[in-house]
Amino acid sequence: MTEVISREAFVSRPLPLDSILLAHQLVLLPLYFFVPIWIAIFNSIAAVAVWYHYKNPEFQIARWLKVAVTALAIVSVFVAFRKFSGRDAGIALICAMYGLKILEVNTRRDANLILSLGFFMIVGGFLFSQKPLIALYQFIPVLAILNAFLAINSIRKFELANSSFGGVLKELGKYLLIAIPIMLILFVFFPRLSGPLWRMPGASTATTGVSDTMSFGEIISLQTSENVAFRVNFADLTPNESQLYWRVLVLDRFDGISWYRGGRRSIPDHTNLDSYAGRIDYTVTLEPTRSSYLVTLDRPLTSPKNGSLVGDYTAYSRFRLLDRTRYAISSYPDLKLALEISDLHHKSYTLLPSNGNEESREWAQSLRQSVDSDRAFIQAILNEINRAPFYYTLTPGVMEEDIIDSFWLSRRRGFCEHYAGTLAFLARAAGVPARVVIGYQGGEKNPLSDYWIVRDSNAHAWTEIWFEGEGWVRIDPTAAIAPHRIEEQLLQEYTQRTALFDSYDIVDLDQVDYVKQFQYWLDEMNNNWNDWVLDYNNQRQRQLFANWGMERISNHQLIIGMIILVTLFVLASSLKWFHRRSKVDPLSQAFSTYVEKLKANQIIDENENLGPIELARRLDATRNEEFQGHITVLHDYINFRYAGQPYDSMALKRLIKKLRQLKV
Amino acid sequence: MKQLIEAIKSKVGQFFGSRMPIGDSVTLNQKSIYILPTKAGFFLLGIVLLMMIGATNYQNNLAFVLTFLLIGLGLVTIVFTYKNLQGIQFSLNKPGEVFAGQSVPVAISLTSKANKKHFSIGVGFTNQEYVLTDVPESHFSKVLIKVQTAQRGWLKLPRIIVTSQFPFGWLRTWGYFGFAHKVLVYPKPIEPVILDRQDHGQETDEGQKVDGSEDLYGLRSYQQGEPLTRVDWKAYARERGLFVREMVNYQTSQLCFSWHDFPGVADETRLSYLTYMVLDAASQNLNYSLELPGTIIPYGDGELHRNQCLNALALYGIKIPESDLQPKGLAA
Repeated sequence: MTEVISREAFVSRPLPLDSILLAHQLVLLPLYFFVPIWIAIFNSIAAVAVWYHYKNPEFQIARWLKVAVTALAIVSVFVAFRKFSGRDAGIALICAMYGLKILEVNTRRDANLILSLGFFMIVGGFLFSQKPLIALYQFIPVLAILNAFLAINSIRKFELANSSFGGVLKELGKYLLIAIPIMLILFVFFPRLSGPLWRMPGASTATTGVSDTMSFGEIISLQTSENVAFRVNFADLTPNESQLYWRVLVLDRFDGISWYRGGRRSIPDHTNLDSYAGRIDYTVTLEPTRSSYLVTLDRPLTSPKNGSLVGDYTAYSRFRLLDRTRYAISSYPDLKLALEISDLHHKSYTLLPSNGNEESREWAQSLRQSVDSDRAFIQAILNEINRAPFYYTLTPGVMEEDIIDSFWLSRRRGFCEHYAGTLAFLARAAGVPARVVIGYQGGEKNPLSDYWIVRDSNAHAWTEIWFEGEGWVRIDPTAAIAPHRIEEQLLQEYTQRTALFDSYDIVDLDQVDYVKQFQYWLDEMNNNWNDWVLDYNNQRQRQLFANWGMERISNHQLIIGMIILVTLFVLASSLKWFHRRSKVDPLSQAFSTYVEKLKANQIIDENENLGPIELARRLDATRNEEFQGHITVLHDYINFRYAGQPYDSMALKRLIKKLRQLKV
Repeated sequence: MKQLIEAIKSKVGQFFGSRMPIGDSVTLNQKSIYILPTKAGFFLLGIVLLMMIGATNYQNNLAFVLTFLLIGLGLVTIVFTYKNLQGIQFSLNKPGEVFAGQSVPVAISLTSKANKKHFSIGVGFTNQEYVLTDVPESHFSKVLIKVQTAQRGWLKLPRIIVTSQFPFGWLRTWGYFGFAHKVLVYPKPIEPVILDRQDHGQETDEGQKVDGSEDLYGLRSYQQGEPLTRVDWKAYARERGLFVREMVNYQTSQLCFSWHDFPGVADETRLSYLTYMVLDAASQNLNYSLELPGTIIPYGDGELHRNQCLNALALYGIKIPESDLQPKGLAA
């Protein structure tokens, strides 16, 4: 029979200290790696004492001792850190306090406090480490806390699921099954405050070469580096040096400060390209960049194996390049592409922030009105660069708030990125589709061999303008600067270079073996973790939604979307199948079916809830010979159910059969 | 001020009660179940807000993840807490005889309609006093809650509150329902002390009563389920507990209990005296009649007769609503 307990007795019964202690210790465990070891020792002793008290209630911990230990812990933290503020001292203090709080868990209120605070303590741990493993581990204390809450609120421990901890986990798993998707939705949709727009990447994400954002001043840091970026072997046709524009990525969004990449839409390789003349076949050996961008000569129409082509004619590989990697690819420098673009694309390539840099906008718009074609308009800008005192310098100085205005109209000193970014801005301001390409320009032929070397110092940014009938055309505004206005320092000959290959291996991109793939996959995971979990900020959120085709989603819409999706999941959790018990005891089922039969024949009343004993008595009272067989079976049932006989599956089956065969 | 609070309380109570199901076997429906966070729930909500602030401040995305996981768990818990209370059928096991001043043990069976377990279900008349039980998947559990009776007559059972904080104690869900069944409360049996033997009723055949017949057979404790006709009400009225007289044969005397036997005694006390006498006579299996103003129950014996007399006593001077005219069903 089920247990019945009054509220007073339920509230005042002893707490399930074992479950609470388990949750408490699991919460603290990861913190012990980051706080002084003596805190861990203090806490563990306290936990052991509480455990001993739980098992032997006559053992009491004196109150003065609890107070003394707590005071000692506080003093020790202060002695060790000389302060209570700051991350390390703060966490050490709350770790000690939380650890010793277990000494004072007497009421349900204490238990609720210590369990709820457990969640907060887990966050404390995240201030030290955000490794994937730590994140995964945190599900264990979360489950333990839930289990402890459950134990406090259950009449009997583990009653929830077949009296085992595993069963409880399975039940709690049901909660997580719905809670985790909600968590993901909230994580993706919850509007992030735009912190600093350019965040320094963590150590593990540091890349060399180009990055996928370009704010002014970014490429300068590369320009001074003499590191080899990649090497190229041309198959037969070697292009003119002035044609050596190496694309890495295309930036098509401007937020007022930086140019960055919007969505990345892969496109299939072009086919039937053999008929085009002017194809250049070449092999690139890329230094490890820890990013997945591939370098291609302007412009690739096919992608190498294990790589994909993007709609803006750049390419990337399936994994980050951790090793020196080689791939073969072809480019078509003279082919006219994208002669038509859709209105949507036209719109997105002329998109600018709604305000800022007003003077440059007006300048561009009035210039456009004074000429009769887009071509002439761009040419006029290039002439302006050549004519006006524009300088090419590594030290452009600090730009004011409206960067374009500041550069274009007053300072006129900058680097390739300033020129490329500004040209794209001016073109867009006049309604001409434009985008920034970053990559490398030029290269030098190794005199000892037949390959070309491209260095970080070759990093470059230029502009692509879309002209009606011509498609995307490369315009390099930096080249328009009058040569006498290029800083001398830049014209100096490169210093002695170590151009020979190092001794380490090259991985061919199309021959990546499984071990390597797995290695790349692991790295990919870690990288994605960094990118999409730890560095998921305002900008990445925008980028993600842009990838899904929602380029201008507002915080408002994010919140609405979030609420709708979460509501759907909560509704899903209220579906019937989710609450159905998977296993119904077949014996009970047979018995209730039998009772239903009796009710259907009005032998017993519809609303009556009769146990088997009562039922047998009732049937007996009818003095109907028919029911004698029933009574025998009912007695078997009672014996099987309640007499505490050892479980016998054969007897069970027989009994179920007999119950089912009873004729009413 | 106090009155105002009381008035608001009763209004709020009416609002919550207005949609409650009523019957002898009821299941709480979605409309009649309410849910609110408990103190522990509000505390956790505070912690979650704190975590959210921390996560934003430190731009710590894992802190966001955990915060969002907790929000998700909280939302799921609403559903699970709610579902835990839903689909339980509450059936009243009709209470037996009850006398004014006694408490009625109201036995309620809880059965799961969906063949699933329900946990830590509290059943009671107030928020503070209730009993908790689990409802098994394919059987029923039974709780016993007590209602104190004050006066004789029909007793409408107070509305019943079903409540649960399962699984985590963050949320409290509750619902109300009422049982349509009314309990007939008999007058409190009081031994007529002022009577001496000569005046004791109007025994038509006084000499036949054998003194000390009780002493011959003695008393034994009352067992649940035994007919109440043999209970020693004298002992009960003296608050010694329920005892049953064991007797082999009974005197066949004829007694007439009348309202007019007790001149100058208050009405309710008269009824109590008469109740005592009816019970006493019935327990000795005597033949007796009852005379109340406007009602005369002729001589008779047996359980039916006894109940008839007790009903008349319980309902003396009380208007019986039409719907309650059918004979009172006793617990089977």
